[in-house]
Amino acid sequence: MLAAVLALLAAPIVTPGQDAHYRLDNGLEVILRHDRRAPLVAARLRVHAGSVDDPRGRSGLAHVVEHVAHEGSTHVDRGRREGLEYALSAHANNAETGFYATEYYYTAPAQATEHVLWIEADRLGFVRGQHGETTLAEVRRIVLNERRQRAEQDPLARLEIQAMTALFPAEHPYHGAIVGSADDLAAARIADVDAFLAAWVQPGNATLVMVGDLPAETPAWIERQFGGLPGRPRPTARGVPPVTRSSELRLAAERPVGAAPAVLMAWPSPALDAEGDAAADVLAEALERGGFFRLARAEGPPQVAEFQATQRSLPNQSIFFVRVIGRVGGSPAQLIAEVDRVLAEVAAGALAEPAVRRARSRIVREHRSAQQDLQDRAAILADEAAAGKPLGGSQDVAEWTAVTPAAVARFAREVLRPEARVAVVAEGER
Amino acid sequence: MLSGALLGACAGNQSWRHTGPELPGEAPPVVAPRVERSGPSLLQVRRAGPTAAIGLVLRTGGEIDPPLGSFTLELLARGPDRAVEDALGELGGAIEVVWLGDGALLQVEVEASAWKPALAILTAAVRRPELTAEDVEVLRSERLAALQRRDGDPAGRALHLLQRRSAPGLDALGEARATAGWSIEHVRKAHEQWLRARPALVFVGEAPRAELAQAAADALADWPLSTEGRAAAPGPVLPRREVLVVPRPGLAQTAIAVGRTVAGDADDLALELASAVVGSALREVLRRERGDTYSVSVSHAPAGRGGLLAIETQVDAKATGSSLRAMFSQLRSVQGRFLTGDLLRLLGRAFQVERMLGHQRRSAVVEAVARMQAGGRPDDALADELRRLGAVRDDDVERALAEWFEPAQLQVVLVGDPETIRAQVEPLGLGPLKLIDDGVH
Repeated sequence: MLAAVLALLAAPIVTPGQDAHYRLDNGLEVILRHDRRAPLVAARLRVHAGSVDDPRGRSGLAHVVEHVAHEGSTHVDRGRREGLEYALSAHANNAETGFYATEYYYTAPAQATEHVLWIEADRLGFVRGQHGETTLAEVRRIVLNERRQRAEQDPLARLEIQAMTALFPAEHPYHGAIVGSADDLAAARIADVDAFLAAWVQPGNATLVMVGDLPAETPAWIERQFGGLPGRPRPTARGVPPVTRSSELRLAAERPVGAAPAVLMAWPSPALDAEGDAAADVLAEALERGGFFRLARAEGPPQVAEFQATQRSLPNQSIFFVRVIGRVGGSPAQLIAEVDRVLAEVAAGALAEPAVRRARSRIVREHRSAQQDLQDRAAILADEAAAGKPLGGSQDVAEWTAVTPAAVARFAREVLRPEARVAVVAEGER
Repeated sequence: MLSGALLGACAGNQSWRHTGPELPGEAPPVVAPRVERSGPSLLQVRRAGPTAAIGLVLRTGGEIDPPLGSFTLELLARGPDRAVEDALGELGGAIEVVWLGDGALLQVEVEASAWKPALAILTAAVRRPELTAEDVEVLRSERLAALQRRDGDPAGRALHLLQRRSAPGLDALGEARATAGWSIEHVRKAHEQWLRARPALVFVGEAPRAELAQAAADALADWPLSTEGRAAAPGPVLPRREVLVVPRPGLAQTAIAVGRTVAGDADDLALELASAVVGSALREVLRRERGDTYSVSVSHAPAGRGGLLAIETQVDAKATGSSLRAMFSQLRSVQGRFLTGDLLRLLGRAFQVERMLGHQRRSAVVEAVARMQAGGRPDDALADELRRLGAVRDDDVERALAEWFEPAQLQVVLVGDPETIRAQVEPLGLGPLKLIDDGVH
């Protein structure tokens, strides 16, 4: 009781029931958004460290750390946490590791808010030194199974790893897969895990986002649970050098993907929020929703049966992917020629205003729809905070809305050049 | 300053970190979407916000071939040379076809101010389509690519084969050979079948009630109300006693799909909880204790004409036989009265919360209401089921476990290295191995 009163006294000036964006004294960034449509709360703890921070020879370490953190912390071991999740109906929880961040999240009944904060604070402050090689061996087994399942079994997923491995040189942080190589995973030791935790996992390098029917005591609880954790200034981010290609690299797929041929192309593209990033989103949407086929059919029935495009927006350097599947009896070379012809037309301005307008409208509406889900909204807020944008989506919407056909053409002309990409080609099985 | 010093002193003695906060004494409140009916064909859930989601729920009669039926709906959803898709795109919408087993759903979410034209476009797309052979060809080639994607993924291939065997009414994608044979005439006939019974409209968003009712009435005017009764449920598809094996030489993992048909009158809520019990037990053994897999999922897709219960995992190829043995051993050991009292209440609460989470997005609410409507359940089914999830009894769960997870009744499908599978699975005595060679290696 005394501690709760003291925590209230020490809490930053945050009006209960009001939205807020502030930092604790130890550097933890906190974002609170009230949304009372349902008696639920989404909690998202983002640690600003991901696979780009894997030490050399230890690819996959950030992801391993995520799994080790799942095994429990000083005051909340795994069994206790799982029992609490059961008692609190807080089963909707997970974690994920990306290039730049690792995130732990719950969506739970509002009455579980204080417990969720307690669990996450312990995960942020008390995992280091808690586990030995036995835990790591169990985690390694799970992660190796995950790698096989997600990255090796499905031949189309393998195309992407091949492309990333070829596009980025061995010492580049994007090289390979976030899950790491089997050799590096085998070489990892618990000391590596603890060193990673010491370097990166601390309040000064984390953001806590809470969205939903937040109890009035939430700011005080945050102060109580997180405020006592020692924090340091945010560490300097690891450099991610830009990559460019001056000649196309074509690779044969490790395995066929089926009877029809397929090709995956990957280009280095403008960083998140840089000039061209929003145009890339709009172009991908416009081409997927009929734009590609309308341009491709001008010279007869298209060779491409299925077209997919994605701009994977990332700080420092993004990647633009095109994946096409052809028809049985066709060849990868025909698919590549057709993609090149269409992209050349786009570069010359063939994607007109109606197609661009529809793509913009769909992206903006989907962005609005995503706010309906508390956890999705928390993820968007965490993204915005990490990028230093105003919270609430206005900047993204403004950037998409401002994309013109000329901007789309410029992106295609300057970025999607054949010589600037890696293409992984899979012949159809005979 | 004072408070900072006091807090620091307090933080030095953090015994409360060991004890944790007090557990709440009461169950979390539960809230279900409130479905309001206007006339025979309009169901509305009021939700304020910048978007509105609209769904057209079409009933599936026994005469509709699911893959052709869903193919036809995708054509309608696009319109001639994607005209429907483009028109909805102007309103911010991306139309989607969802196969429900007992029916199908066309749905779109648009800017809230555009609900009226969106509703008109959606219904007109089904009633007055312009079907062309060119559009059939374009969509056919896309669907064949989608089939290749599905079958290239070992887990996708295993689940599909299980679905074909046990619940063909849920199979919206079908197989390449049949897809390659459809003509524009097949599509026209399938379209006629969709027109036989008036669909229901589901609207999630804010719109003046009278205006919405009028727009729905205009859109559905003259659409005949169904005079036919609901199609009789076919008899259950019995599991085969053979183990189906799709060969993929050299795969490091074997995809395992195990499951069965679930009758349309099954106690879905008890089965939902029983599935959670089984999933938890299998994950503990296969992932944690044995380290054979990354994940195990247990899912139940209900349908009046035969739903599907499926257990899916991918295990280290070297552990295919031992994983199957462990799986069946677990299935036997979960039978019995072990989940009682408070534990069962907690599990029920967890599922209540899970449903609330699942109803956050407008499009998800449209789909939930559409499933309710297509399954012939009453308008208050969402609220009623949410309430009843908190009151499922232990003997209901026990019965569901005994009825649906009896190992001898489960069909086994394996996708992986055939020699490895043969060496490890034949000795288990699950039945003869039958190779399904679909030409993908």
